[in-house]
Order: sequence, then structure tokens, then C-alpha cells
Amino acid sequence: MPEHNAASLVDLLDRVVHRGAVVRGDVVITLAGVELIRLDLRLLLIGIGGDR
Amino acid sequence: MSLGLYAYVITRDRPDSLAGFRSIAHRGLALVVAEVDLDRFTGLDLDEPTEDSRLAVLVREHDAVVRAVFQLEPVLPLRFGTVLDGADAAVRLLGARHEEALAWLDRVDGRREWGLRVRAAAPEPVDLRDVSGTAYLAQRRRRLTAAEDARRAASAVHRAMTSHAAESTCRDHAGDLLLEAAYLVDTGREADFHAEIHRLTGELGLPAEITGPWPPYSFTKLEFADA
Repeated sequence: MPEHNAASLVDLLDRVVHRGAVVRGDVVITLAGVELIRLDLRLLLIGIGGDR
Repeated sequence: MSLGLYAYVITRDRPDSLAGFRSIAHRGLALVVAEVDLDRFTGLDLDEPTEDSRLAVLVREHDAVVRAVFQLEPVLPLRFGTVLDGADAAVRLLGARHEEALAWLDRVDGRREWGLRVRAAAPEPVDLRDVSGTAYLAQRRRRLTAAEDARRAASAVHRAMTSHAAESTCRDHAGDLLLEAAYLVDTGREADFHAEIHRLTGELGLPAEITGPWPPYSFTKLEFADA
């Protein structure tokens, strides 16, 4: 039987970090730190699984 | 401390609903934002985020804001770490894909996302000392057939659930995962949707996990490439 689980961190990261509308272009701050987060998270998510 | 305008969701501009949030409105759309300290976003531990890591805390904060708006209005969640170059940039963002964003909001209105994960049932352990070569091969064949049947059953579950949903999406999956999917379901059809998952996975003897309800994270495939 299916179980209703509290959302795991993996489920949450998968959605919050990897899904959702993407904003690019000159409206987004190009702070090196923030851009770096993006790149690093992409690498991280390769291990989590998703339709990329 | 360097401050940035962190953007959470695009929603409809409904001043009553958005009273408790900081939002920037433009032609019927609103962007829910907050001034954040960007230093909080540097040096995150990305390798193995634990429940109490800074990354987990930030991601939960992001999710909490998205959910708070989602309780009141349809939302288009923005990806984690979206920091805008000020309020003017927010207005340009909302203007750039105005019609498209409104259409996406209509599309997710009155619907919630549910996740479904189906795993293969764990095979029974075999004691090789008691098994002859022929019996072992026969057992191995049975297992391969069973695994193929389970994969087919999981696909059937996905097809059936897709027909109960407004939209569905299937993620890559590996290992003992047979299905990793998300469904966007009309709130009025959720009871049927869940009854059907229980019935199907119960009938097929497949262990299944449901997560949700979620804001439509997996169904906001929108890109604001230029503004």
C-alpha cells in the first residue's frame, strides 16, 4: 500500500532547486557567488535524479 | 553584508491576498520578493546536505514562502537562488513574458502537484548452498521475468494516473525505482486520484510512496531568458 511520507529533503531539493521558472538575462544579478551556487547545485542534482 | 532582491513566485496581482508579502506588481502580475543577505548563499555545503545544513534551511525557507502564497493564489515558483537586480528589473521581468505568465497561471489554477515513487519489491534471498545449478538458473529466469513484469506494471500505473491528472511528468529513475513521477491534479479530483493509486498499486503488489501536495514546482517549465 502507498504511504504518505513527509517530504524528504531530497524531494524538496529536487523541486525547489531543480524545477520552477528559470530567469536569465540582465534582470538577474550576476554576482559570482549566486551564479556559482547555480552551477554547483546542478552538479549536486545529477546525483538526485530528474528529467534533464 | 550585500543585499539582493530574492524572487520566490510569480502570481496574480491580488492586493488582498498578498497583503502579508512584499510584492512588485505589473499589469495584473505580481512577483513576491524579499530583501536577502546574499552572504547567506555563499559557501553552502552542496555535497551531502543534511537536514540541518544551511542549504536545507534556505531551501525550506524558499518552500515556505512559495507555499504561503500558494495557499491563497495560483503560483509559478521560481528556481532557488533567483536574485534580481532591483525593483525595476522585477517589473521588466513581469513585462517580458506577460501573456505567457498569465496563461501558465491559468494552467495551474485550482491544481496541486503530487509525487509518486514506485519501487520494486525486494526479492526473496536465496541460499545458494541449497540450490542446484539448474534450480539456480530457473530461479534467476523467474526473477528477471518478475522484474520485467514489475516494470510493465509501473508503466501501467503511470498511464492510469496520467489519465486522472491534468498533466504528468516522469523523471529518470535508476536502481530499484520503477517509477518517479509527478502529477498535476485538480483539487476536486484528488480523492479519485488517491483512491486509484491505492487500488492499482495494491492490486499489483507494488510498494509506492506518495509525496504532496506540492505547489506546481514540476509544472512550471517556463524560462525568462531575456527581458
